[in-house]
Amino acid sequence: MGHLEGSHRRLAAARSGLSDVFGRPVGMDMRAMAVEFPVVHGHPNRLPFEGVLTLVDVPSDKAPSGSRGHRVVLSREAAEAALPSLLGMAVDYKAGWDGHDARQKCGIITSAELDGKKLAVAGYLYARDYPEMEAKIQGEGTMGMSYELADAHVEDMRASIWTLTRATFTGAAILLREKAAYGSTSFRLKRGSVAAKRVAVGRG
Amino acid sequence: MRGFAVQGFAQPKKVLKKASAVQEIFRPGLKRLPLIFMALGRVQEEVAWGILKEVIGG
Repeated sequence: MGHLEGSHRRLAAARSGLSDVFGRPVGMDMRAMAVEFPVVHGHPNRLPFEGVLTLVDVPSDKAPSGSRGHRVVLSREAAEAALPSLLGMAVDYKAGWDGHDARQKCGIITSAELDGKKLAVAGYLYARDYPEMEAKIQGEGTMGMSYELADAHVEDMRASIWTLTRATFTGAAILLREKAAYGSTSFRLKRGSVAAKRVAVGRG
Repeated sequence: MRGFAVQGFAQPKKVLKKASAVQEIFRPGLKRLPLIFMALGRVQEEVAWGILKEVIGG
């Protein structure tokens, strides 16, 4: 797994000037982390995806599963500290696309970044193993994501909205956006990846 | 007192420390019982946080 050793951390914070090196607005704070995989052109089982996993410092729209009916807020500090735990974790889906099935893993997360309030992730789907996913995701266009957190520290268990101050990511689910605790999450296949795959298949 | 105070809380050491501190300040006697409850009230305030065993899926 020599290629996996090429993990790197990229930190960028724009606090002055009109825009940062990535062209993002002034004052936007971004933290990112990624595991670099070797490029394999036309890999039949690697379909790149990107999505917004959750929002930080924002209460969830609904109570997530496992939170005993409480809506939750994932603090920015907790999310930043937990970013490394997200890399290498799987994405999963449940039949019906309405929840989590942690044992039905259909892809891997290879990068994560906090961009403003958004925790964005990217990775690969096992498209060959799960051919139904590509059609579903492209057809629906309303897919979202949902994190899976273990060992979550709740600041005050008596509060109506639980603030999570520490946690470990154990994975993420792809599901219908309306079923996610955060309605503003998103999930989509990366632009060009589908077209490139079709070209590769056509040539093959 | 100590056994009672510890039950049900996530941080027994903190509970003991707090409860025994109250006992030391106020001498044992008739006043002890209400003070124990005062101490428990304070302790509950301190240990309001918790660690979830369940996986949160949000």
